[in-house]
Amino acid sequence: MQSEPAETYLRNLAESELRRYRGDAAEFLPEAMTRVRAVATAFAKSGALDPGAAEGVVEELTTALEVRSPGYRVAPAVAARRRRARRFQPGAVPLAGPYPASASAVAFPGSAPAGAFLVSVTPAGALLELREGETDIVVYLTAVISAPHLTALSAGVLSLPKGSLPRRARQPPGVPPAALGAARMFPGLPGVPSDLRAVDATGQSYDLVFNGGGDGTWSAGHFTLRPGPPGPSGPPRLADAGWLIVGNDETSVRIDLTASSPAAEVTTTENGLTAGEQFLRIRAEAMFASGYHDVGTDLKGLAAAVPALRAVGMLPERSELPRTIAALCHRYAVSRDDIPDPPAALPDRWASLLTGDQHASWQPDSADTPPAAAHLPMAFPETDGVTTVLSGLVTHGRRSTITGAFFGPVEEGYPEGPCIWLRDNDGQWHAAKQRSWSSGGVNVFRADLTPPVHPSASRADILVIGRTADSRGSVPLTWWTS
Amino acid sequence: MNWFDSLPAADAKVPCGSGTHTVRWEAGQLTLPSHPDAEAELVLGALGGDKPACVTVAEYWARHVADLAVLSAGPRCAADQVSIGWDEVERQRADLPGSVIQATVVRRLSPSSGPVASSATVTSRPAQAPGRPPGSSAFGMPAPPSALVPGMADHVRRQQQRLEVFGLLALGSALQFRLSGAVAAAWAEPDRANERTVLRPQFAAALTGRFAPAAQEWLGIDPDAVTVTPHDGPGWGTIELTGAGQDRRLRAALPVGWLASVWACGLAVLDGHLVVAVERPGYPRARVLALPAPDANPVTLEAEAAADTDAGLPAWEIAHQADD
Repeated sequence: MQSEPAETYLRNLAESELRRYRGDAAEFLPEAMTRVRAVATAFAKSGALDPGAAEGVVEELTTALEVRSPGYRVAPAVAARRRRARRFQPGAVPLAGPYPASASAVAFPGSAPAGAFLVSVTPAGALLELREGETDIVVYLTAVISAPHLTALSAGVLSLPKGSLPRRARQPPGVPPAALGAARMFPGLPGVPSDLRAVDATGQSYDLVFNGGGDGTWSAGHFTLRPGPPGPSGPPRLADAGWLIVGNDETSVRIDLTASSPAAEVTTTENGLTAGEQFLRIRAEAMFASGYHDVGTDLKGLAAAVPALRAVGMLPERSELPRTIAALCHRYAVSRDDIPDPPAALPDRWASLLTGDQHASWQPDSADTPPAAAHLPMAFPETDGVTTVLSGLVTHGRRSTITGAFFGPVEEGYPEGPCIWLRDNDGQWHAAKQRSWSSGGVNVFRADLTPPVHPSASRADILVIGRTADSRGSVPLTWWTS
Repeated sequence: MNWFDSLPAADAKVPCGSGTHTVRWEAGQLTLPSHPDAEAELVLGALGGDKPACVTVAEYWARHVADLAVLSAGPRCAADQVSIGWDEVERQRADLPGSVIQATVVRRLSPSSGPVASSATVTSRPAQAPGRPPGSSAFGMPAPPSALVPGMADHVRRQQQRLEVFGLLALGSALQFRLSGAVAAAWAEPDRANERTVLRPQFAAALTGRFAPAAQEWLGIDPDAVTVTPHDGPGWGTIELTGAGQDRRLRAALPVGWLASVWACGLAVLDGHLVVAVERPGYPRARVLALPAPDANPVTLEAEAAADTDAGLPAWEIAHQADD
């Protein structure tokens, strides 16, 4: 690695920012660090500079600003950020290194390479109505994700005032007592049942732990089965068990694990870009996929990466990426001083999202309209070490949520994707704003779709954008409700 | 002749014991006037007594006199206020585990612990660990206790380094410049050419960060339009001004020693001239080589210290133009 030009550029940028912000760092520290951290990340990710060296420059600037800000201490904040980074990626330095040379090198611990194991998504289409608690609850079970290290039920959960659900003369019996010890109660989110468990055809009992989010009335996410599957060398997976009964002591619902739906045809196309271009592209795409902040938040840093990558020869002169980022900067009124290139036309999906009337595209029928759910069983080939599967789509009020899982390493906040887009049969693009919970290299996620998808949509084209390749597939949508 | 001959003595105050003591930098050395027998006080400290803060500061100085972290954190120009105080240093110290501090103190007193103030005087020539370039890494630092897990030990070592650099910066502006000069001078030695090559980006930034404000004062140029690369050959280096208006760019190549002999002595800009080298260091008179304009040949000037600036550096003016 010829790193001297990159390190010199980064250090000189840090000097420039220090001149600009010294004395005001207490007030402007995040802003003062934005460009340097962004360029450090760009260099580290594209292989222009060793990640440790890049992080060292960031640390030095932090210290230099700190000693110029009487009474202001940045060290605790920096330490907290690093703790978070390490929690999400054990062993990783805050600035992750360059992209691995091959996908197999990043398979998550304890597994075969991500592409080698079988991940199945089984449509569930089951409705579980719970009337015995403090509120009435309806659980929309859309699909079962089954893999050697994970079994999860994708779901939407509606919590209603007591008595909202009509009484029924007969309801299915509760789940049989646990064969192996009593079911445990896991603290859950408000409005989400915490006493669910399951039993499969072999008699194996499971506790269900909810990973997801919502507002207390409507939540979406996954119920993860505990204990999970033992891994590739263990007994047959849950999907081989035939059926699964899910519920609590009072009632239950049976899910046929042998159900199937036509496999969606998926195509994957490598983007053929250089490492610098790939960094800019995936970071720009990830701004739309972030469920944690607005699109424009990271734009200043991304703009700073353009001349940096160009200065160290990581960005071809004729690359379209700078023009695309310039267009985004123009759209979000972010300074384009770093990018002299004229703005390009925005990609269709960005334009659709940015210029469309998102509110007009979604008119709930009424406040009492029940949620709607559709299964969305799609599995995409491994790209950049990550296998993406989708499982379901639930919508209620003004919120639509897509569920699925990533198998493989993803970074906190999804700064490098995978980024998921859905295009409905009216041609409207919907960005999936991802949130997820990591566990042992598997990230089950829920992603709010912006704008929401109306349950009248009959088809979904899915685009999964990775750093080196894009995958596309199309599935019909069959909605069901309570 | 030494680079520091162009600097007068400077004092700083250190909270020590129940009072405040003076530490003095003079002729390239840090002295402790209030502690004439620092060696004895070190021994007393090892036996359980309190080690005077002045002695601790002297130890810090000795350990960081070639530490590039001083250049990355320290001042870039007289207007650049590095304003960390002793209270902040104490807060940083409080963040360190007590056992680590104790272990560090004990280790400092061992024969292999690197340079320790052997008397009331600390010289400016750093000790160097064999085979390891001094710099922003753990140069001269005591190792953290081996009982700590590796990641924690590394974290504690970095925190300890930060604390020590902060303690030195708390000595105030005058000593900040003098310590920065000592660091630069240590690295400018001819026998460190290979190490300078390895660390070229760090020296480029150290030079650019300090030369750019001087160039702004000299030419009114935007400091962001100024870049400096380390010069490692004969002569004082080169300067090239290109473009006009907002496209003006100033590119310079200067030796690392410029930071010590010129910048750290407050000589960078002298009555509209950019000083590129010091021919004969001295105080209150020095002979310098200076550029009246970017495209001009350098001229020899006699500089005379008129007064001290707020930053604790001499304010120089041309005493006599010796040679055109």
